[in-house]
Amino acid sequence: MSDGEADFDERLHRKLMRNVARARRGQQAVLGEETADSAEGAVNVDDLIGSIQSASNLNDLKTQLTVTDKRSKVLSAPVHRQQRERIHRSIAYDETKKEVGKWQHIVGQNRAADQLVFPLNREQFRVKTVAETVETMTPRTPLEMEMAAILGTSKHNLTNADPYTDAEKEIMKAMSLKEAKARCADMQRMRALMSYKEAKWKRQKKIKSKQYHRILKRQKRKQLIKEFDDLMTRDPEAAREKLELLERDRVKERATLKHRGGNQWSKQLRLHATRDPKAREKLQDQMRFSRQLTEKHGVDSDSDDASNASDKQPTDETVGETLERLANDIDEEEAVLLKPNPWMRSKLSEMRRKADSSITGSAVTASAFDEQLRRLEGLPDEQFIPDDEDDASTAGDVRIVEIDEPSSDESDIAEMEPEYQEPRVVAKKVSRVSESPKKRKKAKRSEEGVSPAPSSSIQAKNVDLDSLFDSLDKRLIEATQQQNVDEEREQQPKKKKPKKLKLLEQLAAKENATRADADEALITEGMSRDGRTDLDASSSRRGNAASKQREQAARGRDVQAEIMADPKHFLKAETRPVVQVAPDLVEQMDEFDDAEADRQKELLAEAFEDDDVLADFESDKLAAEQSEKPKDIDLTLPGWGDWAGPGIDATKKKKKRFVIKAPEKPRRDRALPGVIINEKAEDSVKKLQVTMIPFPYTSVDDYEAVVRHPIGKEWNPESSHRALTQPNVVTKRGGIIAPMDKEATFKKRTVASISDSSDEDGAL
Amino acid sequence: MKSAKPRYFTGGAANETGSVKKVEATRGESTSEGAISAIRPKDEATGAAPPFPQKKRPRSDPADDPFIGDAPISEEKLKKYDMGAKNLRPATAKTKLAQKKFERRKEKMLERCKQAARAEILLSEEQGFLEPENGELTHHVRQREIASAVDISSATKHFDLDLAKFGPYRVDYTRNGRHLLIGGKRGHVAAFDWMTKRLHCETNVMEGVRDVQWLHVETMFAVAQKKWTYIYDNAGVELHCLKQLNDIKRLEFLPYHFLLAAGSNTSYLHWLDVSIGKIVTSFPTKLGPLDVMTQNPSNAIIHCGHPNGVVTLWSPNVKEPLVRMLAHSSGIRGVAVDQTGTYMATTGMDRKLRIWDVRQFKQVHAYKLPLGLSHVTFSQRKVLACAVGNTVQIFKDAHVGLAEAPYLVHQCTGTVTDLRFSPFEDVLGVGHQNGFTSLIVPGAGEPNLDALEANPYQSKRQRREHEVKALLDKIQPELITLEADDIAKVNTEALEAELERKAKVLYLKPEKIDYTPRHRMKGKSSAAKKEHRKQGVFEKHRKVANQERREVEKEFFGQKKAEADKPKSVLDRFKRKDV
Repeated sequence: MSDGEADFDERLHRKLMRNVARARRGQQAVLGEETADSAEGAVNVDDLIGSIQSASNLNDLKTQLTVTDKRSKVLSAPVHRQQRERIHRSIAYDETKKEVGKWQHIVGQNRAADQLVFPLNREQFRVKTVAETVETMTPRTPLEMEMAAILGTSKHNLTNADPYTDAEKEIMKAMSLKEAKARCADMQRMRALMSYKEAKWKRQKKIKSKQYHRILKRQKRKQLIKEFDDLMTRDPEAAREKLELLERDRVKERATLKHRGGNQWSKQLRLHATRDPKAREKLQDQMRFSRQLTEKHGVDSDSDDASNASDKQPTDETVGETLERLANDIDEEEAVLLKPNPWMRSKLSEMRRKADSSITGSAVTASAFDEQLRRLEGLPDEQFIPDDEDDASTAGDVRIVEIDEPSSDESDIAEMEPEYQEPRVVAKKVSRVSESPKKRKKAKRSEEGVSPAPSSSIQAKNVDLDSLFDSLDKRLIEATQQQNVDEEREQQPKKKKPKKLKLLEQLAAKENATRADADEALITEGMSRDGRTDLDASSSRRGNAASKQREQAARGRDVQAEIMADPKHFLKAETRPVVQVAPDLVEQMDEFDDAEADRQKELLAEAFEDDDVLADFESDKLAAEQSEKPKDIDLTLPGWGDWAGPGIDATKKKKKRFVIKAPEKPRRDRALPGVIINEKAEDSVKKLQVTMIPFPYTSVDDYEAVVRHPIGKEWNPESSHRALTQPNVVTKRGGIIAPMDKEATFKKRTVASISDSSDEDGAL
Repeated sequence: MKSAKPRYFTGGAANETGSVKKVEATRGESTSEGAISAIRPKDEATGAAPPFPQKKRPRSDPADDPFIGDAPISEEKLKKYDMGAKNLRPATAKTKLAQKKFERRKEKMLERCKQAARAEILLSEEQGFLEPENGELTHHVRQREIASAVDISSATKHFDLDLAKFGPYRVDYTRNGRHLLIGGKRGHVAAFDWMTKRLHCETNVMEGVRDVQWLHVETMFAVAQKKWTYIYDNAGVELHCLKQLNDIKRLEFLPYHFLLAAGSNTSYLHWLDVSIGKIVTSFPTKLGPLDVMTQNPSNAIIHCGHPNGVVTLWSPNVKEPLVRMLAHSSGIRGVAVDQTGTYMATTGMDRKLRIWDVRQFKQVHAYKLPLGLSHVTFSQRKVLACAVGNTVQIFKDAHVGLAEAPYLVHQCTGTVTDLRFSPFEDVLGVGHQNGFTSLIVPGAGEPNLDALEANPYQSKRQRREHEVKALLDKIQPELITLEADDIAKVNTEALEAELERKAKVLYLKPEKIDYTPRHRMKGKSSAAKKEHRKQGVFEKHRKVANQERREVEKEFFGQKKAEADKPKSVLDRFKRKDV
């Protein structure tokens, strides 16, 4: 623009002028008279035009003009109705979407909820526990203040943090240790007793039995009378109060005549009373009781002395005895308390074992050990050691002791605890506790050292393993020495390791196998071989005493093993010989002597033993296979593009093309000699099975696992059964299910979210 | 306590990982505790009345608690109860909502496994065995000695019924082990509560008795007599005469299916539904008289033993044996299957006792026993009893191959003809030539009873309740299969075939159908009308085919997204919709 003068174009300028003039005319035509009369003071385009003297400042004017043109607000034409409605709709849609979108989360939650309980926003009812009420309690009334003051300053408060109250601590300080201990034990006992009594009374209060209450009432009455008689001489004032109570009973009885025989029961009973002596007795009892109730008390004091004398004695006696009895009670109850929680027991035993092992490491005398144990458990007295200590734990102790200190002589161990004196007894106990029957057996045998059976004892295995390794090492070393020593010396550890490892693996595999056997897993193929290794191990353990016999047996077993190795000989296999206890066959056999019996046996065997049962069976199997085999589909058309007739078979090419081969499915019994499994049998259940995986599942495995999972009461604990079968929706009968209240729902949510966030803050 | 704590936490290597977690947990809690205690002094500072002395909650000081959190459960136990819940993949569910629900379900299932494992603690009873002292053998111990050693109530469980006249006896106990039924070959039938020795009934049916069998409750029992089978109630009154079951040799009752299975002398096998009194199936096995028969309690399959040494397995749904196993080289004398359906024991004329794994049909162990070996039975705890001539030989751990000598031996006065262990009791009932003997076999019965399943102490009301419940839970005979959980499986073959078919539908032309309209009277069969009808049928057919194709397309290629946000034109309605 700065050099506007330089490139001033005459032609352009003229064009502009023409346009402006045209615009002026046009405007005038549009606005008409309106501009003419209303806009007197307004600026006309003429003025603007008039102000143009030269073309030099024309650019400024142009900008001015465009600005004014822009500022002039002219309403755009109203849109078309259809368009307008469309806009309205889209806006309304967006707003509604936003509004409804707020519910999205809630709806999602409700849909995914495990259980919906209607009406939805019911008030949560929860009973406060005593501890909670106490925590929030602030004393307000004068009485409360006073109580709080007394209790707060009391020295007898017991908290969970501390086993002793302040008062007790003071007493303990004042007393000698022994006395204090005894006293504390006493106090604890008393406390426990109180709580038991409390519990007992609570329980008794809830008893609903009429019989019980009747008896209780009568007892109380007797007691009352006794007390009254007792008080008559000593404290007449108190006696009068008791008398009033008795008198009230008497008045009541006289007014109601409840035990007089007017009620239904006694009427019924009276019908039988003539014949039934028991009924008569009952009636008489009732009458007697009624008489007792209505009789006046405090009138005759003849029997008082006697009753006093008889009453006093026992009370005097029992003072000492009751304490003892109470102590016994506590002991018993505590023993019971300790018993039924095996988890606690096991944990305790674990702790103890650890303590023991550490103690055995350092040489401690038996008494010190005992003391430490007690201190460890925080038990002040010997009585508090539960007398049924876990068997497993003690057994574990024994084992640990044996392993940790092979050199320590047994007498020491025996001294440590009386149970240790009889390791066998302990072992037996263990055997009863331990889970699997074979494991138990193993443990017992290894500890008894008898092991009459060729069972696989782990310990024995370990021993064997060690010896095996030793021998192997020796051999290896010898071999290496023979060769170049220098070279081998470096490689020795490298070479040794893999061999050793391999051996270890093999042995471990075998051991695993036998262990699996113990866990009732089944070994079929390797059965005899395992048996043999077991046997070897055991024979090495037992020594050479009866080695000859065993060798024979082993030789026999070798043959046996060969038989077992071939699965086809399964009919001849035998696990182990069993001690034969021959029956005394009264009917069939008693007239035969032994030789005769043997002959008979042979005869029987001949009669019933088929030579080649297996071969026969296998031929059956083959036939079954053939018949059950899925058939090929033959689509050849005889004579189509070929000659047909008797003796002319379809060509190979044709067969290949037109015979659809049935899919070959391996038979289930292919590896099982002597077994025919019917392949068609499955079809019967296949009709009932699901053929499509139902909705949410996409894999067969998942669906099957879910279906397989038991939800019934018979297979589950009650709580999980209920959780697994809880209904999706629970409604209260008769309760109105109102639609969700927007305000309430969102208010609750905001409150919840705020409180959540505040919690988090607090935690941070 | 304090000295014990650190030891606990730095405990053995086995639970080191566990203890680390615990320590962390305690730290977390203790910090929060600290925060609370820091606030507390403020209240005192305000000078208000001293607050009530508060008992601290036991949880408040977790550092002192050596047993934090729940008791640990071993992996093995969890595995035992886990039926595949651990491997579920909720993320594979079809929708988001379904995923969420599936996730919840999985959690619940895992929790159930835990709880079930934890509940094992309630099975506190243990089985006991005779423990011999050094050098002594258990099979030298006589019943007399056992009876004198045990308490009086247990001692009464050994008794002998001398019934020599009515000759060899068959025996049966109810499922709860409370009641005993004996049937002598010469017609003597007696039912009684064998613990209290209270007799329910005693009759002579005046006909040969082949077998006796309790039905689902102790008020009814079936007796296979020489001609027909009869059902009596516990007062000995004849309720039914089952003429369809004639010439029956052995009876078995399948309690969950309410089926009375019977094997006849004429090789027929029958299954009778006792709840409706109808024969379910009945067919000839063509394998000779069925006098060796038992049931597999875990899957209700009937096992029969035959003179050619074969054991056959039968279900009412297939008229051929499901499985044929060559078990012995000569005739089978006894078959028994244990409670879990894992082991089968067979005895044969070849003097062998064989233990099989019935799930795999493989022999696991074999023993040679003396001559005269016949019947065999398993107890609940897998103690095995064999009849050998007139003796009963009982084996412990025979199923794991550890039997070296009989555990117990008892000699009866006559040849043993039947053996049954009493459920939930350490008792073996022996029927023999001269009556019945009840033997004490320590460790035979299941010590932990499940009263929901079979309750030895049930009252009359409970029995009735149980009967109704059992009827409601009755399993249909169609569901009897070799593997009991077959019904919970998906028929994968059918599923695959269906998928294949669907995939084909996409590329198949709709099948042409050949249809000639039927001739109708009254001018309804003009050429036009006929054609009209024809086209209608074709149209219908096409529609069905198209719909199926569309569905398959949707499944395979997913749904086409609608062109959204484009203002619809009035003319859109004339557009083709399927393009």
